[in-house]
Amino acid sequence: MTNNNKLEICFRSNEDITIIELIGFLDAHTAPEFENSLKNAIDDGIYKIIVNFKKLDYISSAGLGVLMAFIEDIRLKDGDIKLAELSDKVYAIFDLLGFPMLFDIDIDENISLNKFKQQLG
Amino acid sequence: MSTVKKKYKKSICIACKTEELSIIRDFVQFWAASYGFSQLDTNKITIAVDEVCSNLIKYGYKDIEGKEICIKIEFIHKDFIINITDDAIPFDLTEKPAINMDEYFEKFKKGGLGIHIVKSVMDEIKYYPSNSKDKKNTLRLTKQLL
Repeated sequence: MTNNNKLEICFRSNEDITIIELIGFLDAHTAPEFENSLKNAIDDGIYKIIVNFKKLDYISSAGLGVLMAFIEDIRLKDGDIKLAELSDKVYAIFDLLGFPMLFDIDIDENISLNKFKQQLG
Repeated sequence: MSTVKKKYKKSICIACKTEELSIIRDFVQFWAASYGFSQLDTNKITIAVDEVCSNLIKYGYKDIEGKEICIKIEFIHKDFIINITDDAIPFDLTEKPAINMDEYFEKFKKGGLGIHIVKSVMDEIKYYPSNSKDKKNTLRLTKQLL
């Protein structure tokens, strides 16, 4: 039986920045879990978010749609959702749709962290 | 490779549930790679089929249980063809207007990305809605092996 329809979501913090780590597969089946996680974080007043994609094997438009659903609101609150450590395979989908135009995408999570910290300073 | 192709089925049906999307992805990925598509193109074809099936489950069947989606692979000359059949209410994605991504981002729009992906990665898309003779709708996606 295939096991490639699972998504694990881990949370970490660095000062007031929250890092959401995605592990596995983000598709129409698992996107609601990611959506709930982001919604809960934002409802808790977390507006500085880095999504780390290092261990994400697959993304479809359902996952991209979750990011689109929150980015406007979070930026209106002077926050951002930055994307870090995308594999070539996952980046190809973001690139196909032109997402690098709207989202800050970094090769290393520390770069995203520093961008937030510089904004704070 | 020809032995592999003969051994495995070129068609598959899944229950209309999002948890079964991974079965479709494995199936399409296997055949696209077997016919010689690059990793990048294999991934693109796979996501296109995933998007079509996701839309069918979510909007076509509206999560109604007991329905199924069937996929059949053909390879004619250099054309890798995926036929996706369903018996949901007919929906022709080829009639949906193209998305202007600049405007999409500027206005923080939502939805429609799946269809945009399908149109971006496939070379040809044809839709045959159900009729009095054939009760099933068929979407025919073609990617040429260059």
